Amino acid sequence: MNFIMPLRYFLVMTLLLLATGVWMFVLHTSLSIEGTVTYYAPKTFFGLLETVSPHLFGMGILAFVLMHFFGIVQGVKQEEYRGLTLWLFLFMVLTNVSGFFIGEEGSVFALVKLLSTVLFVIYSVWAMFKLYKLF
Amino acid sequence: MKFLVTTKLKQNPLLKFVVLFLVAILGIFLLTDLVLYHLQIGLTLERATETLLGHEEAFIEPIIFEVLLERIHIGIFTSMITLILLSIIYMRVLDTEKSKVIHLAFITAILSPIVLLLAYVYGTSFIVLWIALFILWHLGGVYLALRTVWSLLKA
Repeated sequence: MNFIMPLRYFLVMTLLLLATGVWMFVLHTSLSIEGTVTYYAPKTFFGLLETVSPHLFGMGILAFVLMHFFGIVQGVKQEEYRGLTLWLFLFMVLTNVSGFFIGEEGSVFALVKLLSTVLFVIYSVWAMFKLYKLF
Repeated sequence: MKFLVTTKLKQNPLLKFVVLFLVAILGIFLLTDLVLYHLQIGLTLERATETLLGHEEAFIEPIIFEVLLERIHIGIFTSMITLILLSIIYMRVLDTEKSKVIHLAFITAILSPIVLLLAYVYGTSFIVLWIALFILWHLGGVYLALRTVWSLLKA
């Protein structure tokens, strides 16, 4: 049984999901440290949790679904993708957790938030490109 | 997800039972999602226009763009997970690799959020198109669910 057709559609939808996510992130932060501090610093713990909680679920599922294909498609050197999987999950955790530590004066965690988000998107797109070539 | 597409599905009564309920619940989810979107945005031209573009005489403001974008973002996630599950289970259970309904469901689900954004900017003609696309992909998904459930019940 060949499941390539629905999986290709799935990749297109994942691109749309990432694109709308990045769009919202840019609207909120302007992709700058100042913008990130301005948006996240005044947020309450509850306000942050409202965003972080569904994102941990969604991004975790997305990272799992993308990366598990490398484990089941024949002819893939799995050891090459262990690092990618580790980084993808690490960036996912960092981008979600760093928001809690962004204070009015601190810009280090704003930088962590920006970098981890950008790297999560880049790694996801790269994994999708690799999958597209495998399919 | 590999367990969902096992070739031994029909020989494993418990797994068949679990998959049957998953597909049935996804079908019900699609129907409730239609109702929810009708209440939140509107699946009639009049109601959707009021939500997206506002209504001056009734003092109704258009939906805030960030709120709409967030709803679209969540909608894409739920639709991609729902359709990938329904389509791969459908293909396995009905033992088919070609289905126009799978193409239709995915293509309309992909176009639906794009057209909704265009509707927010360009108005009425895109709103009609969005309503059609949104209903079509849901009906496509419900069709896949019903055919799969029927096939599993018969097996």
